[in-house]
Amino acid sequence: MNKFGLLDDETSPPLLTSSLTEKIAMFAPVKPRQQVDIAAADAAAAQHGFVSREISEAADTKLLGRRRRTVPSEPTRHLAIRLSSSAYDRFVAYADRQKLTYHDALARLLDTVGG
Amino acid sequence: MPVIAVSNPKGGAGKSTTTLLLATYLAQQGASVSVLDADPNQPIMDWKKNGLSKTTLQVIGGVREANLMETLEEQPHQFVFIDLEGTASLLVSRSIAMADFVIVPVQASAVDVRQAGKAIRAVRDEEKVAQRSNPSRRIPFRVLMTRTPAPGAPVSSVQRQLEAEIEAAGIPRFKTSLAERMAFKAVFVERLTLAEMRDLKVGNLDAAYENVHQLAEELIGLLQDIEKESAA
Repeated sequence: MNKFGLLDDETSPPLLTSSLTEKIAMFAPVKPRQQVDIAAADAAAAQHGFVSREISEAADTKLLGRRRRTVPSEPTRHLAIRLSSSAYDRFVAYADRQKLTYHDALARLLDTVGG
Repeated sequence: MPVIAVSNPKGGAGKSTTTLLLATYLAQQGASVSVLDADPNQPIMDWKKNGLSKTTLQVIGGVREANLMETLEEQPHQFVFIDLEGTASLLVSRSIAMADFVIVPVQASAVDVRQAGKAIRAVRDEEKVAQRSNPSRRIPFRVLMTRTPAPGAPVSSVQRQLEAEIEAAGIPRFKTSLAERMAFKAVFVERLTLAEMRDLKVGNLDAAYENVHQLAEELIGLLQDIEKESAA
């Protein structure tokens, strides 16, 4: 007798329960990842003390030998920029890998993107 | 493919233990699972490489700031765990930024919880940053109490106070906690999964197994809710 209405009615459908294995099977293996703005993510994390703990490739510049300096064929102007530590490391590492001076590396990157 | 980052800038909070127990358990249940070992000490890589476990779990070592995104994109698995180092590094914060869910394991100690606060603030800030380009982006997280007394054993007043403070602060936490158990330590010593240690005397294996089962059930339930929410 269902005196207090707490017992399931015999005619009510059974509860849908699934085992952990069945639940797991519902997760697709491949899903496109959302793009993350690394520079913005790093800047937000830096406020809480999250900094790079890796030895940057830029730190190994001494091992890479002397860079060949090209003489510019036009007048030069000075550009001083402040950039995030990670962007700095990437840029310096790129210049080192390519054995380019910074101004040549910047010109190469601009050439690459058609800028 | 949920990416689950396991993070607390404090070392010894139970990150690797939590990662390994959950990942091997899900693999045993038939899931395809990988762990990116982003801890410089490579504890899970060591477990896999130097052990005899027959688990289907894939472990990828040598994860660095520069290759994290590429490594994540290469994963063809249903679940990807990132076991993070116990420091506040860019590798940690970037992993959080790319995660679908963050587990923040904490022991019942003031130092652990204060350091966990750092991870929680980072999660919230990374979420805000991600929402600039995608307003629906969420990085849900849960605090997981680790090395708690086994059910029935007395709970310390420190743990009770911490639990009360976590609740008062509105910080979401797992209902399940990971108890202090011999079997969990033995997983790293024997380099086997819990299920593979059946023939070894490593404490109350059934209780340990049940503990991980409950935690995995809760995790899968949370991930299902997140998937539903993001699909809506």
